[in-house]
Amino acid sequence: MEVESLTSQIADLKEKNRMLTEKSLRYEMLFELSEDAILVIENNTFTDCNYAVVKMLGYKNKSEFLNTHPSELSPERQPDGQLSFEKAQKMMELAISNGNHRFEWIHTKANGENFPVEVWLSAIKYQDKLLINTTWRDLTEVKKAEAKIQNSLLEKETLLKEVHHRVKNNMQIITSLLSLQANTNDNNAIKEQFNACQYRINSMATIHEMLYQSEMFSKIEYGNYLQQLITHLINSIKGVDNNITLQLKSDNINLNIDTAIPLGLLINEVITNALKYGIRNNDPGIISVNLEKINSTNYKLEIGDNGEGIPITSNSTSKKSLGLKLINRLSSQLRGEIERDNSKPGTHYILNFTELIG
Amino acid sequence: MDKNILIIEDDFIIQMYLEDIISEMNCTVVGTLDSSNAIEDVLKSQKVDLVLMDFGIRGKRDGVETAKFINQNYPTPIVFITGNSDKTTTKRIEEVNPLLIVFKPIDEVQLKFQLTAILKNLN
Repeated sequence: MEVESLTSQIADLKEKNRMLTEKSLRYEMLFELSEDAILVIENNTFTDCNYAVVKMLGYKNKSEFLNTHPSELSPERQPDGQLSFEKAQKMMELAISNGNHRFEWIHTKANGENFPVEVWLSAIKYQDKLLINTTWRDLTEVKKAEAKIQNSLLEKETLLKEVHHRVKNNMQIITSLLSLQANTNDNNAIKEQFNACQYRINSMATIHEMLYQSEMFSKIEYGNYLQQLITHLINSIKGVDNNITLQLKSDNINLNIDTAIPLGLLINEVITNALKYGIRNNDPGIISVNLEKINSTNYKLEIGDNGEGIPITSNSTSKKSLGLKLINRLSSQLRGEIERDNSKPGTHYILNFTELIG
Repeated sequence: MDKNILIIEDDFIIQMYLEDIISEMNCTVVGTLDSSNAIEDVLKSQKVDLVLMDFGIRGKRDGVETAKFINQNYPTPIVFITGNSDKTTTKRIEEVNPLLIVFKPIDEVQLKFQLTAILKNLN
């Protein structure tokens, strides 16, 4: 009976032992052959690692570099200027106090080459021992790709800047040609027509000029633009010694090129009409502009003058007036509605419009 | 107001446009250059009251370097006209002390007004 029981106990133990050995072998294999680079830190020293680490560092076997402080497999200093030794100490302390810690690090390969690694430390308590399980991810390719993207972004910015610059310069050439052609003529009515074309082109050229100057090359601050555009029109039509007061109010509004250009052209027409037909000759007058943001895509523009108003017989209200046609077409393009505001003396418009995207 | 103006601008249409503006102001264009190459010949042989200088011009020297050369060898008042309005360029232009910097697109009325004021003050 006793012998039988002993025999069966021995068999049991043998089986348990076999299972334990098998389990331990299995985990050892999982550790050794994992594609993830895994190391073990004990007392601030790498005490073990798997084959992926050996491969990543370019050594023949792990005994060549184990039992080292992490800073010994690193350059003297990290990119932020800290000594690798001091920073490694801090990183390990953080992992121990927080349970884990993730950061980027520069390690050194067997051949002396430095390379970027994402390090993930997890503190593990095991039988009175404090181990730090360490996983490395080689960031060399990621960093290369990042640099490539950065470079390509820079190239595109430069190109975009160059395009705005050229568009603006070409528009300057077009207005110069129109001006030269206008000056060959003594007929004032014809000169005025050339001038009107120049103002329209200038309203677009100014947008490209501002886009070229802007940081993002895609949006402009519209209040600044309106100031520039309208002052230019007042000086051009009424002369530098004029009696016009500009009352401009604008929220801080950034508009993209798809909206900025038709809106600029529309405002150009309204102001040109105001200065030609609303406020006569050298009469004193007020141009008032108020641009408000209603919500993220909707805006309200109030624009007008306190002049005599446009008489029905005037050229500008006739069917032929390109200015009024443009005002109506451009407000449709801005998915907006333009209305005469008859509550104030002079000629006033209210335009509700939407920022066009894409 | 008969003053002598030298134009340095590499675009032929803008050259004509500036010549037009100058003659409307009853001033004389003593030369129009598209680079700094012949600048010494003009400044040596003619009385120049004002230089209208484009920033981006042909040849080895850009507008700023040409202005430096003028400041050192033939001191003459300079008005810059530039299509490059970025901060770096503007700063470089400011360093050669022009009387005025005009940005393209050119505001013709404004330019005539400012040039008239400048030319009045020149002796």
